[in-house]
Amino acid sequence: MTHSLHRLGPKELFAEDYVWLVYHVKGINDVDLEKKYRDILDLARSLGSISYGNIKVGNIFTTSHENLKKSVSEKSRIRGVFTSKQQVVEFLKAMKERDYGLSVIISGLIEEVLDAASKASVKPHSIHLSLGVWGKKQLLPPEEILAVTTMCGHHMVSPRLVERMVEKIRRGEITPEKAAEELAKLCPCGIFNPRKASKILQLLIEKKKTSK
Amino acid sequence: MARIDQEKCTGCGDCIPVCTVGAIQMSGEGKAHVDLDACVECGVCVRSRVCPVNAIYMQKLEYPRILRRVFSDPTMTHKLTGIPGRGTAEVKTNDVTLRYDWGYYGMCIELGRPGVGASLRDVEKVTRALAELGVEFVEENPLMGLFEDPSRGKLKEEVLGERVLSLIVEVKFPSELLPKVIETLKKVEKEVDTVFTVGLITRITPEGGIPAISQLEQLGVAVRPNAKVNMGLGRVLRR
Ligand code: SF4
Ligand code: SF4
Repeated sequence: MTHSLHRLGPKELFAEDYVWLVYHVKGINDVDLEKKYRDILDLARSLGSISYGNIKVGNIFTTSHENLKKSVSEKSRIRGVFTSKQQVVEFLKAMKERDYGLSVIISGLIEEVLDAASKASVKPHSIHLSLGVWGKKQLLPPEEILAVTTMCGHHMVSPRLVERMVEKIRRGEITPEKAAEELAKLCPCGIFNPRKASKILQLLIEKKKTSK
Repeated sequence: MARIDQEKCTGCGDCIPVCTVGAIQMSGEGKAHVDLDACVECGVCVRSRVCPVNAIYMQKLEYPRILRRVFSDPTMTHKLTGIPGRGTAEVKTNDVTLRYDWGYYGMCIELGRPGVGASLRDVEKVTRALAELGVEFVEENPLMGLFEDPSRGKLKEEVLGERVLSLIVEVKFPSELLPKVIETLKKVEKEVDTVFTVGLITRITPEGGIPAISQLEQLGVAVRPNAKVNMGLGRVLRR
């Protein structure tokens, strides 16, 4: 999937948003996977990854760390999201030192991700560039809503639900943080960044206030 | 197939905003129902457990309707398309497979994304246009199972009436073909009744340079500031 690539929204919103993924190829580097994946989940937790998960099991808001570890198999793919460049640097340093032979991918602002690689003495190999959205763009919701919904690359978070959450926050029925967690539950991979989502939800509320 | 038990439904409306494509509506009798043409079978209405009375349920799907689920529900692995899983490895394992080395680009065109959904008829408009340029459709992609004739980009007749949340067309071509590919996409974007995302896969120089960016800018294509970087830590462990 290209699910972490097309996160939309203004550049400033990406300062606290770095998706991490670890991949293997069957028959090429699928050696000792279960143990490696379990150790990587522990590493992500120790570095404070705000969400992480396994598409078949769920993410840290819908299941426990221990259950994620227990459910890892030779077929698993694990991924998550960091909220600072320093976490990416530490993650890359650890992955380089452990030399698992697995592919490590980081999605985020190009200049920041390349800088993190350089700080961790890692040499990036290739890149998937986003050339944005094409076609009938009039079908799309406003940019701030897309900035939230595109954080689940499989689009399990609907624009109408984001609007519903904004209404609930405005009426004082839920906090922005809790609303963001509720949305994060729908992203089974665990790459939806609730910290970023809660900031955007607050921005949307401010915008509503000023447009009145 | 996503259905709502009309006996159980209380008409509270909580499920309406949860549906990824806006396919749940309220009927004149004050009960929720699913528009089966619009529904892409993603399963979110059930997985989210939004319904307080458990009125929403999934019915068994037959071919070709099951393709909706295969391409829209990420929790599902289905071999129907002939390719295990539904995703592609694109840049993620390029350090190990070297599918996209110097001299070539990879491109992922994801129809229906973000969040609009796409008909397979629109997918075929893109595959036919790209096939004319002689690009290679990447084998390890669930799309391959839908082709009647990949050399013409033609999909099987019986699948054309289906709709999916999104579907990735992954192609590989020599880098000098990029201007033609972009020109084709600029044309086809006016013909489809949906949106699509475009991504270009390329190598990074040892100094951290990305020559493709200036080539794209010359073609009038804006590159987003965020991207997906393969860190080059993968290697062959089995011979
Ligand atoms: S399966 Fe998906 S598209 Fe269909 S009604 Fe449920 S949420 Fe909507
Ligand atoms: S959430 Fe359940 S009870 Fe409420 S409208 Fe939807 S199907 Fe009916």
